[in-house]
Amino acid sequence: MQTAPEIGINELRKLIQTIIERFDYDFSNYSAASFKRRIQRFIEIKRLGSVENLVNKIISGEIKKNELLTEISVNVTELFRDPSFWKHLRKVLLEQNLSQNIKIWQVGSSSGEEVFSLMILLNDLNLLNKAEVISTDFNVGIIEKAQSGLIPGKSMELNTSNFVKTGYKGELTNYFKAEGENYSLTKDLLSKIKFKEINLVKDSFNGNVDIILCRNILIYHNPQLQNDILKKLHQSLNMSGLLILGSRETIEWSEVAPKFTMLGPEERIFRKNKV
Amino acid sequence: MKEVDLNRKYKAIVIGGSAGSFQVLCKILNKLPEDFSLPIFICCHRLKHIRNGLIEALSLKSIKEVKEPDHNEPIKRGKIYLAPANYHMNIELGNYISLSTEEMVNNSRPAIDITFETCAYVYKEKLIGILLTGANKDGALGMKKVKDYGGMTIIQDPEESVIDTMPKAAMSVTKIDHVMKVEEIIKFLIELNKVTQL
Repeated sequence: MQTAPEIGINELRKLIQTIIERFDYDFSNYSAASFKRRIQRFIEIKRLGSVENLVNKIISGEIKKNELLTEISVNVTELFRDPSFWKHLRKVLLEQNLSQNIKIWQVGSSSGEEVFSLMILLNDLNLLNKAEVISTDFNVGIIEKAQSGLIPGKSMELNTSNFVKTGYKGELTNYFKAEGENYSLTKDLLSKIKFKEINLVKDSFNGNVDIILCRNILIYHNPQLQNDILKKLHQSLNMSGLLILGSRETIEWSEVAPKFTMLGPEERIFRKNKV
Repeated sequence: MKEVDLNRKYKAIVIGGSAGSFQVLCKILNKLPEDFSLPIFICCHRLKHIRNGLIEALSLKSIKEVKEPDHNEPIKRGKIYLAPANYHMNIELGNYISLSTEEMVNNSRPAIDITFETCAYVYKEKLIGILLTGANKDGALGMKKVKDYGGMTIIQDPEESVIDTMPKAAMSVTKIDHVMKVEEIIKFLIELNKVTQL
């Protein structure tokens, strides 16, 4: 819990403006409460003492873009986070009768666990050769980490426990081999992922995607930005394509709400309506 | 009923609790009048991987609907919001709720401190913070924020608490306006509702 002094609205505005000017990234429409905590945390970690010092160090170039983005974005993740979701997704994909090739966009590479889980599921369903998987993030630094295919050994206990709960075939160690203190995703899975830098706030994504996996990304955006991003995600999807959100994210209250149908009450999976 | 300042127009109530608090919440929600008009935000410690169950159990006891909010859900009068499993629940300026998956705070996600602190920032002197029984110190700093912003602080009587660590921790970091037994908290909320409805 931060005991740091409250950050004033004007200070925060100045910081956001500086980040736009220096790093070309716009945090204006991030959820204010968590963004403020991220900034407080960054100031504490770097022992900067105040927002003013942070602003000055961005201007002087002492604080680099990737460093700031990596610390501000939340990269708390695990393989098969929320196992009941992954169990359900397997069922949904089986019901889709996927005879054609499919294009899947996983939004928010972070350190890779989400897209690695997806690759293991596709392998489990014998869909690896039919699927084109693109994983994107706004932070090049974190994409490099995901691209390495490495996950820390200390998180393997939790990852394995999640994997067992999904009920998928085989064992997690079939997909990862020990490499020093880490585990690395086997090359045949890793090499099939296309990593790409995409800034959802600013960029549009050239679509024709069948499935968008975008879990726990919208939670960092305020209603306005969430609405803008949902419109882009809708545009990127093929007709009848699936939009998959985190367990407490929804299209309700957004402009695209009437353009999707929720597949069922269990998980937040929405199908793009035919027009 | 102790002498309590009911004159001010309170806008929201935030309740936190941990070990032993489920039964207390059930008692409170079971007695809360159907026309209770303020929004109530509840943050209690819960198991990370168990998404269902708690909301159903609380709803069974509650006269009013209890809801786990989605991210960016607008806040409505008289609604009861429970922090969902494995998310922190923030109250935002602009009358909506946001969620986050940031690191655990006090070994908890949802963390009581986070819900209390964001509530205090938004509602300032118009907030009532109630901290119940619990076995750790989460919520203590949140209660300090409620007090620092001019809100009212209430703890469950440590003598009545199953585990008194949590209410006592709050007492040690900030001024507590009222120490109440569960029955007194219920009476207080009923009286408060009469005033706020005027």
